[in-house]
Amino acid sequence: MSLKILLAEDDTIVAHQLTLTLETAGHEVTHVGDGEQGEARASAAEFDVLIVDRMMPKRDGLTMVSNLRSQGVNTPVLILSALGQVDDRVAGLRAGGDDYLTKPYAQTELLARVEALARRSTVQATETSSSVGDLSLDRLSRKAERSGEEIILQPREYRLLDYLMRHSGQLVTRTMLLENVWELNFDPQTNVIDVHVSRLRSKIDKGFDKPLLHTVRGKGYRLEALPD
Amino acid sequence: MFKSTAARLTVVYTVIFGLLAAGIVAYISTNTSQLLLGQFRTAIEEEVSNLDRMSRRGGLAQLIRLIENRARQPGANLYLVADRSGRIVAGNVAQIDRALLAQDGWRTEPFPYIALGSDSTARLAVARIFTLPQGLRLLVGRDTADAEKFSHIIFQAAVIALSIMVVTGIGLWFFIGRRGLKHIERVARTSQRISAGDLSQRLPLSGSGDEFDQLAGILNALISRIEKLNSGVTEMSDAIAHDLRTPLTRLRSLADVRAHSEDADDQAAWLEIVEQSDTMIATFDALLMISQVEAGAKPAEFTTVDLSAVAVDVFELYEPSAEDVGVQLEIDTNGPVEVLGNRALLNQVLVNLLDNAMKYGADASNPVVTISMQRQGQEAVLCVQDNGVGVPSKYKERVFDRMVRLDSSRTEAGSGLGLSLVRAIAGLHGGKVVLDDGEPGLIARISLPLS
Repeated sequence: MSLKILLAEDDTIVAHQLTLTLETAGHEVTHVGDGEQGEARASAAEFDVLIVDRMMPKRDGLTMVSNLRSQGVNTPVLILSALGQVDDRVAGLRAGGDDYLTKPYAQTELLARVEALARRSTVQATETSSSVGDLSLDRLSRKAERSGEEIILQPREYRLLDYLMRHSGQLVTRTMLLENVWELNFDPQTNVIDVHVSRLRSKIDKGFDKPLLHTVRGKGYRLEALPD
Repeated sequence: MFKSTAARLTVVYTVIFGLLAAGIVAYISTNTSQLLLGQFRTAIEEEVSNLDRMSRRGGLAQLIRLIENRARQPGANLYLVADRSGRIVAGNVAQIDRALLAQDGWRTEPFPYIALGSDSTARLAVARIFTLPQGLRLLVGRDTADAEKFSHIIFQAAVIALSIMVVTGIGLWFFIGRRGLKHIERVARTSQRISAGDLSQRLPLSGSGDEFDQLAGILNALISRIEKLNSGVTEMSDAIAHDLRTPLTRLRSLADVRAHSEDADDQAAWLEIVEQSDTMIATFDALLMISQVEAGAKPAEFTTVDLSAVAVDVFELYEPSAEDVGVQLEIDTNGPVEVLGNRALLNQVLVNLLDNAMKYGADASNPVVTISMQRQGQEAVLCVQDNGVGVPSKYKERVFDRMVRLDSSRTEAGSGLGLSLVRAIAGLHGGKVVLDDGEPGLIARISLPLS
């Protein structure tokens, strides 16, 4: 899907880099250099996602976002910041941001989160069931099933699968999983997430004909039914 | 009730005042008695020598006539003349213990006698016994009743006066003391809030300009200065964060782009650069967090956090990877344990400790890492224990220093800041962290006050 993205970032080099990354991924990027312009543009036109840098001249990112929210603009917002302490993140989310990334970040991380944000607004949060390929998840009974066979999942594994399903076809990074499935905001030095994912994989993929849970090397995971 | 300083001081002062007052009263009454008795002695002594002289000059008959005369006067001394066998010959004493007449000298202990012409109640007196030249015994004395009464009046007056003083003293002390102590209490409470991080507080002034107020004024000035310095630190940290991160961000993204570009030549080198940049940034972040947490420059937002739940979450996260590397990870909790704190920071603490335990505990032959959560008195105690090599006791304090790693090789990823951060966070929460010998292995024990 091609998204209409507004990028509010005063650092031109970073902005250039971001624009390149986003456009290469097929999205349309509008760039403004300060918070005042950002607010004006965002309230005037329909964007799919706003990427807002926290420290900008004329009006900082958080003020811009909270102003937009009070104007009723509900476009999902990804806040970028050099301030990475826990409470900075909380402040960002409180101001109305939907996600928060600390610089420096991997380009892929940013891309994955932007696409996840856009998807979030279109997908109903309370879809009672989803499916990818022949794997289906019933949110009412909290049961997973593939090719008619029930798969027994631990509570955490269920949450993991649920999140992957909601972002099926999209790149999901380790940090996104850590934040959304475990609600932890740090970068573990060890590969703790990987082990959980591989356990889930062995439950949903092993013994079935097509692998659905793919590892994207160096980036993250994607739950997807690839065409033959 | 006795925990209050006001009450305790009041009791102490009451006891001291009371003892002093009792002492004064005793002193006064004793002295009064002594004084009066002294006067009697003098008067009696004089009278005795007078009588003696007269008896030598005028003879016995005249003496007796004199005595009878004087004895009849109202308010007279006591007079008694007795013969050798103790039979009373003259005077105004009707009955007395004969043994008293046996010897010359002073009878200063009040002795009972019965006055002539009175009802037969015994009264008390002091007297001088004197042997007249004719062999007769002369007794000149004084009834002590009046003296006693007088003494008693003085005693009563003293008691009343001092009691009033003591009670007033206690009352005044209690109320003044209370006021002063209440003020101190207020100051203590405000100071607590300030040292917990709320630098906007100021000590209350009572407006009286007294020593308390002066002290409060000076402390308030001090707090304002600290507040200014602290906001300076915060601003600087933010500025450092921004100014260091910006070039780091660029460095990393440039390297990242190159690492993922089509020509695979230097890909490994570029990836390495990306990884090293990440390490730099992680180290920098941890240092920044430690400084801020230690300086209390950014009091983190505190809510009620269930420490058991945090332990369980992190345990669940690490369980699969523990299994994969052959470490048996166990958890022992006993219901929710609530502390006042910042959930994200507490997560970080547990992750750091668990990370350490798994890293350094993995070389045991049968590695076991246990997380346990308990309530001990007013504290929540979280332990992470491994059975690996442990920490030699001489290094126990050094491990908390920044950048310490006990093996000199630094080949493993991750900065040596883990325990430093744990200590800073524990401190921020009003708790502490202690390392103990697990024999074998290490026990890291964090205690935090329960909410």
